[in-house]
Amino acid sequence: MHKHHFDTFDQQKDASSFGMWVFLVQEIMFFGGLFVAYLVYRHQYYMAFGTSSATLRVDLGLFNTIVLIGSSLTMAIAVNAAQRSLQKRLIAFLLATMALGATFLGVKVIEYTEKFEKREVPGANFCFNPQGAPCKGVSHEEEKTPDLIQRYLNGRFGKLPGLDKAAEHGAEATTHAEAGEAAAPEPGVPGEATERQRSMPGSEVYFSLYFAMTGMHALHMIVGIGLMVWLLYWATKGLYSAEYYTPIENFGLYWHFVDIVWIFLFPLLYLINRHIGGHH
Amino acid sequence: MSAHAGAIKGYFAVFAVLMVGTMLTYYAAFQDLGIWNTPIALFIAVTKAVCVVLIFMHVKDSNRLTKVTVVAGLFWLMILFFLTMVDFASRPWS
Repeated sequence: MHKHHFDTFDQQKDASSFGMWVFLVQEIMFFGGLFVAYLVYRHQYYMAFGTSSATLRVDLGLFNTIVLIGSSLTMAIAVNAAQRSLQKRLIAFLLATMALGATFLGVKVIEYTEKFEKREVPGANFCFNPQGAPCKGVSHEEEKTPDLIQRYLNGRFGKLPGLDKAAEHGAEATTHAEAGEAAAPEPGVPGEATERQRSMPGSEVYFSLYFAMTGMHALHMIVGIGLMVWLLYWATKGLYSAEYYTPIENFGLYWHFVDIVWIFLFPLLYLINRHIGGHH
Repeated sequence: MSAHAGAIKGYFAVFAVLMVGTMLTYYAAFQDLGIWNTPIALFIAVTKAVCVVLIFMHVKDSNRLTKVTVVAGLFWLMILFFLTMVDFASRPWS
């Protein structure tokens, strides 16, 4: 079974496994850079990080943590099934892992959409000013998480502020003021601070790191689900058995690594300010 | 490293540890523990990560080369953190 440039099958497997681990070490360094950036700016903008962190949906974060841990378990069982040539079980648990991964990403979509609505996404439209004037187009009231999810499932998310600037500047310019919703960034009167400039110093750094870290994490999961489609295809063809399951094993390593990243992201992004009590 | 029928039990044990760790992290985050909030959260996170690496990722039963690779990776990560923090702590930031 082994390729001609290896002496034995075991040697081929060891080489493959070593290569995977070297790749994962690179991944450690990649995410490590983001964590170091977090550490430095957390110290520099201590209060802003705490205040910004409190806007995240901690219950959704907890739910996703549990989902991801569950997906690691199903993946470990899938690898085990491959090792024992249990083909049906391998397919079932690959599918379960994909379903859990997709659930995680779906929840992330709800969280991200809310951040866009609340103008907490870094960029020209950014506005985060919990102690000062409310941000235009953003409701001051905290929406309960079940309502948020329900509204998302019903497809009743409003226009995302800033995304339809072009439309707003067009025919509806007159009704703009009374509409009140879907705020566009202020036109930038010279000598006057924009809502973004009046935002809590450091909060945009927090949200930049939030989106960079969870975004890169989510991208890894999207890639992972894509790879699982490929593994699933070959699993149904009967390629994997106790004699040959290296791709399943190596993919399992990747998936568990992504889980580990989230194990650190959850407390550092969602939980740093919960003991202070109350939002903002 | 053949068989593995018994390994499933270990996976469920790790899953249980991860769930308990998650709940503990969540609970602890709402208590005012002074400066200890973050260290405790990170301690639990590291414990969870070690369980995943050793059992789910089979490092406990892997060959020496794999173990050295993992340790080397973590060592390099520590260098990244350590030197960055030395720089951060020893520079006059405005």
